[in-house]
Amino acid sequence: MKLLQYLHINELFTLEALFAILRFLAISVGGLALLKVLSMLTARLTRNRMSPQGRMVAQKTVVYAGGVIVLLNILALLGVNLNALLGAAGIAGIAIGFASQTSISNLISGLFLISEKPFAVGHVIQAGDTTGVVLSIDLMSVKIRTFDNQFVRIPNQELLNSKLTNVSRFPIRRMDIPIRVAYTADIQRVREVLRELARRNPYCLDEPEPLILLSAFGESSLEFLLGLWFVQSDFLVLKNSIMQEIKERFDAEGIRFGLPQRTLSAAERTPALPVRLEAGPDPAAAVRPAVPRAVPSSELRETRSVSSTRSVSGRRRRVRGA
Amino acid sequence: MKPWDPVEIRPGHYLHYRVGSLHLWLFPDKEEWYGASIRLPEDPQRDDSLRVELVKESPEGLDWQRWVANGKSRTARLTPMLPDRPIVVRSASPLKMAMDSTAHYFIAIPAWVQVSVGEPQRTDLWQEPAQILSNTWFGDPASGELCYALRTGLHSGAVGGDFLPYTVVCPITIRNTSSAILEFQRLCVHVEYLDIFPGRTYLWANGVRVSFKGEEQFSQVDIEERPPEIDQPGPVLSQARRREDRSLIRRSFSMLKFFSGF
Repeated sequence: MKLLQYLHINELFTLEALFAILRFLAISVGGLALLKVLSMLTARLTRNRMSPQGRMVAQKTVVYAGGVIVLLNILALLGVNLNALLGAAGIAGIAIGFASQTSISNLISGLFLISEKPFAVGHVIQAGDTTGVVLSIDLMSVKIRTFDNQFVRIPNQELLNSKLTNVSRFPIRRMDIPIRVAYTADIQRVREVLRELARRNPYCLDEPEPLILLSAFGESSLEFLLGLWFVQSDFLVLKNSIMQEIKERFDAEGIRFGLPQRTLSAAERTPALPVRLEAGPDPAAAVRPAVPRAVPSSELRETRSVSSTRSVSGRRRRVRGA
Repeated sequence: MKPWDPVEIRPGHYLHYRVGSLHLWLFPDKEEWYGASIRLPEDPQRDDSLRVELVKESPEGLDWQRWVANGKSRTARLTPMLPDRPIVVRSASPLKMAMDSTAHYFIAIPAWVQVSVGEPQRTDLWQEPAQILSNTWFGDPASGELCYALRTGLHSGAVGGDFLPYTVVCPITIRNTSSAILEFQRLCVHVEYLDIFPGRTYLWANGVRVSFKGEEQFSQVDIEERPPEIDQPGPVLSQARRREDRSLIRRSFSMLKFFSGF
């Protein structure tokens, strides 16, 4: 009994104490339950009126604001001096602010992202070397799921400071396929074949019309650009089908793809590079690389010269016959 | 056997449909159905381009799909449907219509087919197009809509090679009620709102009346209750995919300049 008196346990079981406990329970449990209901109501009310991103922000605003109100009420009930606490929180806030500049920067960047709306939940974005579907836009970071099913968290500050591409902002887009064909190819025929392939492929939109452009005279090939419009969801099927069709059709038409090639030539007044071909007694010997040696022209049975001029590193390289 | 009528499949037989280049096979097995489809490169304008028959053998290598459908009925049927997206018809050359003028056209839309089993209570198994149409975009690249491209164009009569037993003839009346010349090359028809009626020769859709009202290019589109009596159409064979908005105000015409910026 002495111990109970010493601990003032008796004072805990007064009517006032019981009411205080009940109020505490009502505010904490009831407050949390009310927050849950309010969050669900917000989700339901905004379902048809706001974007998924807007819904998420509205829900979180309700939960965080309500949580702070519940917490302050509980502290007040426990007899904590809120003025002193808020004052202390202000000082602590400054200290924490200095210590967490990056986090605050992310927070402010998050607010910019939410207000600017460069993308929304469900869009496909490309940030740096990461491409994926946006799962959520939070105050600190954006969460995306890459196409190989990895979860990537990108800090908002990083997103705001770097180049960001929203791949799925518009319902249709253009797939640009560079095609190199040999200089011997008939340009008009190449155009016709590409146009027909685009026309026959059901995933390629008729309108806007496909773009077929002879874009450059390359080092070793004619460079065409085939631009095909498609619906976002058809990217893979179009890419797979059209690439295969181009290859098969070019093979059937005898249109050669442009492959890197280099032609060497002897400079002016330089004797032609002699290449000697002769049949030896051992057939396997012909396969082995021959060691070049000087041969008088009178001994040559067959000589080939490799022509054309090409400068290397700005200076003409001379290739001399041995 | 008529192609759109229900067919009872005798034991040991396959039901084979030919709809243009699309071939369908179907057979029941206890409470399950097996179905397969394949596209063969045949002349779509052959006389027997729409055919139904019971056969004892099916080609090898078909990719059979297995369906669970309650009931022990051995009856199946094919129903023509209109495509699930709007159709964009492109005329061979730009068309100009003077003020207060009216033009009548017919377009031939390759039907989709719906495979159903059971009688009288039908269970729909699958549907697919008799002819695969290319995708196209109608409107602004940022806010237009995805459609199918119909390359057969606008016809002044329902005759010619484009009109086949499995195409649906849609009669369109265009009226320029504005005070300017109407110039267009592409016309978007929302076929999801059209029913299909069997005619003596072809399948028919409701008549569509498009009234061009001005430079804003918002056109009044009205769908008539029935097709014209040219081919003596019967009662509705297939209901429209969508019933609401029978009177539509849609952006139906596209000026030539629309995509010229590319």
